[in-house]
Amino acid sequence: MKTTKLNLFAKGLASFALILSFALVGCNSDPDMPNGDEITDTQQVFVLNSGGNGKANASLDVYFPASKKQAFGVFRAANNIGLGDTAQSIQVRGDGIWICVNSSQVIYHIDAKTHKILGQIKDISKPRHIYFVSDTKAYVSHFEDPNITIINPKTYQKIGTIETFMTKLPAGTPADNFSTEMFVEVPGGKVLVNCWSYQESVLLIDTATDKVEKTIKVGMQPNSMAMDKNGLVWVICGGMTWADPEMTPSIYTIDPKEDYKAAKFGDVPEIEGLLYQDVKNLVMNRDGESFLFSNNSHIYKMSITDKVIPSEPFIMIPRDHFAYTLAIAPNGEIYVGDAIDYRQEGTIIRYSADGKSRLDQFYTGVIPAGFAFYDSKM
Amino acid sequence: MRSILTVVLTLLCIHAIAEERDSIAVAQRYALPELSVTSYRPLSQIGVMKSELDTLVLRDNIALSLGDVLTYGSGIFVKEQGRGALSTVSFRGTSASHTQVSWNSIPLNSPTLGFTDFSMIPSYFVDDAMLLHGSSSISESSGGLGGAVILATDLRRLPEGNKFTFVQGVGSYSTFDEFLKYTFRSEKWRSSTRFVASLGRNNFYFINNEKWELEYDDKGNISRQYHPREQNRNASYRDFHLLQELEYQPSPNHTWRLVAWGTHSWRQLPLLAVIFSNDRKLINDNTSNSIRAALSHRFQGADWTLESKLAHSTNRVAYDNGSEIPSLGRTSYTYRTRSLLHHTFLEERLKWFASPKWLIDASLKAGLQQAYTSDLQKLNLDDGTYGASLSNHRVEASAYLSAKYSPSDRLGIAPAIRLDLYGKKIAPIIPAIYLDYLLYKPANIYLKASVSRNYHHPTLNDLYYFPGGNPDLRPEQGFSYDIGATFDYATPDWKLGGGVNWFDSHIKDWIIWLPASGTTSIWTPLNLHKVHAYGVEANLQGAYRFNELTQVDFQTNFAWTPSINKGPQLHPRDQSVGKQLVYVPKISLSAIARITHDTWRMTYKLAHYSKRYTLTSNQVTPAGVVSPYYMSDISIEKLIKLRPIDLSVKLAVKNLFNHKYQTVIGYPMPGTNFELFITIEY
Repeated sequence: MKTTKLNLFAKGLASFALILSFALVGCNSDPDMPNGDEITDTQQVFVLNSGGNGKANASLDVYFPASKKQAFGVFRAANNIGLGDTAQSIQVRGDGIWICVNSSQVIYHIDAKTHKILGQIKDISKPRHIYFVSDTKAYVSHFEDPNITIINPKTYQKIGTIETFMTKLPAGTPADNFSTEMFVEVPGGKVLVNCWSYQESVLLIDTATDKVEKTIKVGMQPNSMAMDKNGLVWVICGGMTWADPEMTPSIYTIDPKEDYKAAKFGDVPEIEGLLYQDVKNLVMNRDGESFLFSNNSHIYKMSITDKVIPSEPFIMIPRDHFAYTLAIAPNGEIYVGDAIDYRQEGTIIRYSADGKSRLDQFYTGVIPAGFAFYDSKM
Repeated sequence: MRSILTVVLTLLCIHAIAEERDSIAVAQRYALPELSVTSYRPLSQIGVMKSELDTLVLRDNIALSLGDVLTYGSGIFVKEQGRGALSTVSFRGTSASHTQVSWNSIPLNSPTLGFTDFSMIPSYFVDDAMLLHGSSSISESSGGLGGAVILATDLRRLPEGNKFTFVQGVGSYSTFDEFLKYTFRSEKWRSSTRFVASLGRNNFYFINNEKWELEYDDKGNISRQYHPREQNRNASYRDFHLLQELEYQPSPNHTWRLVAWGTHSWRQLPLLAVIFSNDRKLINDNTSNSIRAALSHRFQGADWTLESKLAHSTNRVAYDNGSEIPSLGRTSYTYRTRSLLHHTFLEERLKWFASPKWLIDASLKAGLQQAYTSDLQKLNLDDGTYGASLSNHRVEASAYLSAKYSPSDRLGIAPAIRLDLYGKKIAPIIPAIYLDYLLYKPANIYLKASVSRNYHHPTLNDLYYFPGGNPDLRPEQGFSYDIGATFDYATPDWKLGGGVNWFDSHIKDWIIWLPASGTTSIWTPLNLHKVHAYGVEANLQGAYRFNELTQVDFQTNFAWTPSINKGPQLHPRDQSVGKQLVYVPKISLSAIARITHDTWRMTYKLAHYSKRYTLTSNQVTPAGVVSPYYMSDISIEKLIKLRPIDLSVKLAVKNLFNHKYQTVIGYPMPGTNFELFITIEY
């Protein structure tokens, strides 16, 4: 058969396609990675980014308030591994930082200056928060585990468990009931821990015996709590308006001086026009005279002497912003974390202590979920 | 090895194309396809942008799901987390729910989630697979903003009498694949029974570079650290499929057909590599039992056909996610979701050849979708019973009408409209128009174009899931146009065909889920984004026969699919506007080359995806980008004649070059692995 121009064109095209396909086989490449700046400020704000659940993109950033500079992804930069999946809490202890990574089921202890791992506690069910009883004993709260785990922070070993009333719930009880959350130290070598998910209890634990002494009933889903200067513990109960409109968010108090008697202070005023109410993030001011909390998008401030829960925001968060997390720095400045669409870098707004001035705004990792304040000079 | 193979294959191809032969006699041991093209475009195909998957691609080996077939046999992006795990597709840069999938006209898209899990479709349960790109999918259904995947079985090709086929596959990671097929054909009856069983542990080893194993000295300081060698955990699967088809043709005009496909699937969902749970058993399982059945009647008149179909599918899905609490000896669950989904519909389809130049294509479909979902972890606080997350049904109806007209041999024009009713709402009319023009007859070069509007209705979860469902959602609206060209050319000893196509889609009211009113615990779907998806699709395939025993085939697919979020900004500091959608690669490439000689056949397959962003901001961070990769598989098969049975032995090597890669961040994929297949036909 005679070769035509069409034949030649078609064959050339076929050859090109095949050569291109096979030539590409060996050409793998890695994406470019960002570089950080060298920063020498001593005051540092650690921003813990939880990352999306199941996305394995938790991270740790550092913000330097004096220079307004940042270092991104310091955990990975120091350790050459990611922080894991769904980081939950961060706290400074001495020159170390402890990070609970919920879904990865690990607790990291890192050096606050170098960010290098000093130790890790593996295979610990969905850790939420740590309370240090001493240098050799600490409690770890959990999601979906009714017990509280006792660890030795020096050896990074699990050394025991504290059973709670949830431990004794009958088989088949929904696991959402099994959770403990934040610790608040109270006088007499005791500590309170709230049972957040689908529960309405706060537990009193004796740190000498490692036993639950008392189960204190509060409102539905106590999510955050703190002690004021008079020793009264304030508890925000988020409610469950999505399940029952009558389960509204509320504030309770627990008085250690009155045998840990709980009292409902009141329901948190509803913001009109919202699908559901979301009240959380109770943080006490350093003087113990007032506290902040978030109600959906906005920040509210309440004095411990107030008779009613405020209905006007202390900080009106700009339109389209959302207060996902909240913290008060040692100097009183306020940090509000916003997750935007939960699938990109979040943003932090830093306010002055009086809430009137916006001092800075900066990006962080995905879903900023917690803050820790550290001064390397101290 | 890679270089040698590349050179050999390339030289073989060039040699094949350079050499000329006047003619060949067909006497293959393997049934090599005819090297010819049909220089005739039926009226029904006017302006249609479609790709048909080669039978040899579908039948490459029994271990392949349709997701695997699409990975290597199309330009569609397939997102999967390994064998036996969820496999979804992105067609033309749209989301998985924007690809409509049907098997023997039964929709496979989940009515609650919207997408199709392609890993649940055994490739051996599909005889014909066709991709309808963009506007072309409107002839089958609405909602295919990216396109449609049309799958079907076909009993017309059955050989006379009885035939048994058995395939056994044994592979790495305790993988076992079984396929059994019995067919029967007489003058009036055709029957096909197929059974597929796939089992595997998927427990490959890998070095976990996202963990450190630490050893401490007496003072509690780290004395040694290393990345542990770990085994992929919680990735076992057991899938069983049974398909029965029966066809009765009492006269040439009437054909009755019954198909029924039952599935039982139990799958563990792989764990993230960053989970540190060593001792406790983690549970992340999905169990699915489904039945899909259809009874149809087809009347073939002199110039018209009428097909009536009554179909039903039921799917019962259980998802458990939790972990054991050793101290209690019990399991704590996060989710224990139970879903029961029903879909029943009746469809009539008429094709009337009003004249040699006119074809009227019309269909009418009415159905009922029902979904019940509950979570055993959600107590109903009023009465202590378990709470229902979803308990809804939706009546759906759709009417389609198209007039296909060919005023000359070269020109075709086909306007079409579709009207949908879902629930109590009537969607706006979906109009479309298709054109084609035969530019150069010797090479069958056609110019094709189409333009259409399309709507994708919210899923039942979008509308009614409790808590968070949004009954006020609007359908996602798409406006698309395509323009392209195809060609086919053949001589007795070689053929070449292909096409290139530009597409442009503007989608508004794109649905995304966000926390409701700034809450963090309850998410709700909203009509928020506009998306501009555009790009180029191209394909090229060909074959060359050296002689009566030897043939080379190849096919390549390429897609360039920018898919851009056009806003609006959700937040003043939202960085996602103007960025590529997450997990949508801009470039997808696949290629298959096959050499057949006498009783031997070697197949090489290549798939490439460019980097995929995991963050809507497209920030390039270690967890923000899935690295691009090139994946190569190869197989060698030998046919052995042992009358009265035919036997073939095949060795498949996957991930030939042992690339470390991930398709979803945090989930490692296996290195080089093997599977041996034995096929017995009687």
